[in-house]
Amino acid sequence: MNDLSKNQSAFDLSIAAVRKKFADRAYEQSQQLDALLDRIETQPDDQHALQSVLQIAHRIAGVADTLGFGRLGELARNAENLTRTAIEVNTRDAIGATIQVTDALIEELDQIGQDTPLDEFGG
Amino acid sequence: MKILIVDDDDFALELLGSALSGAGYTDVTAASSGEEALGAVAHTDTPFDIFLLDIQMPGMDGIELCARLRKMAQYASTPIIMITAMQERRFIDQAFAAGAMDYVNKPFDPIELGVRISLAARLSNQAKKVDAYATEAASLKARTGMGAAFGVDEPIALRDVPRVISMTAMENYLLRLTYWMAIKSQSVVFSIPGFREIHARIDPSDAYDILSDTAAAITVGFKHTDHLVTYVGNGQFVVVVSGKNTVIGPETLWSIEANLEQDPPLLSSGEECPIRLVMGEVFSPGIWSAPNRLNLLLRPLDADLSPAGSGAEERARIW
Repeated sequence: MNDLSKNQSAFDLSIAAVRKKFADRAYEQSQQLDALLDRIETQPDDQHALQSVLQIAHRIAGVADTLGFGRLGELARNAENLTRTAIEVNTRDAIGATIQVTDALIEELDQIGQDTPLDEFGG
Repeated sequence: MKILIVDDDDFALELLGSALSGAGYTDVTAASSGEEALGAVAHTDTPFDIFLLDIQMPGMDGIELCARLRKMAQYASTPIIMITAMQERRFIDQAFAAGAMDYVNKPFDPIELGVRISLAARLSNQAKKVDAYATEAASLKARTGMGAAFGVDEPIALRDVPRVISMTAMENYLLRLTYWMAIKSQSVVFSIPGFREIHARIDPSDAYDILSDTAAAITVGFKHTDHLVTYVGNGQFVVVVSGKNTVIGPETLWSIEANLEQDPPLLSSGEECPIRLVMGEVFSPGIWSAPNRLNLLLRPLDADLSPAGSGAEERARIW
């Protein structure tokens, strides 16, 4: 095995470990988002809750694709963009769109938390 | 190669660390905020060679951290690579204006990251040589009153002028702009006629001051725009302006020249040094010609600008 292959294998193993940790924390993130959505549904102009959704979605969007969670990454990017818009324009429609996409994000996180396919990274 | 990575997300830090380790870089320090990063910089025994900074962080963001690092003499030319999930041009422009040398998008591709770090490592080694040279030049200047020479065609970095970035950073900036960002840009070249003769006659530190003052006057001329400036050698400056609504015309040149007349560069002899500029054609790319390379921007100017005009002869007499 040459150096390049060794590095690639080491990287794959390390990605598998991070992916496992991420999946373990998916349920926790889903719970956080769920609680924030409850607050937004009760009080749609809760800027603090919207900012928190934005921050969580931004973080997920930053790593999901690299960890092999492509659909999650796409949903997180959508949630990030729509939440940013909702914060800027603060309209009922924009907040409704944020709630809808964040719901889909929660569903995907729950799915990942329950069933983490690690085989493609050898984990 | 000692690398500092800064991101507020634990997963992103772990992934970056793994990708760097996979690319053969194992001396990596991680910080989860701008404040923590400054602490690491303050307490390290040996300086960092490369910085990787996330742009969006709570508290001190990556752009502010980049600007703070650049203010430290030790890190004036150390490669700083920004990591961003933000595709909005204003964030990218701000990062380059604050002193970033390159950026990678999140989610990042480990292979691309490795390549960019290798390029940065090469630049870091060059920067160390330049810094050693600058120290030597400063020492020479203190002892003899003469600065160390730089070639007339050398694209030297003009430090401490806001929005003026190194040629390498400008090349990275242009290359990394998306197609749509690029076609919403305008660029123009300004040239000091007869700079070759000027450069040959005066002290190198005076030549540096002339370039630095000219760059500052150019940025003042574009103060109402989102712009970046770089010096490309031979007395030529490239300005890239974001957005197509800014009118760049003779008034722009007059405004810059008025700034230079009002506050002309001073030679070490105490004499004022009047500077005039020539402005090239404004390059506003069409749909098939996004300007993603600096040499494409410069090419039309080679033909348009004569190296020396009557103004140059007049100044040559002064010096």
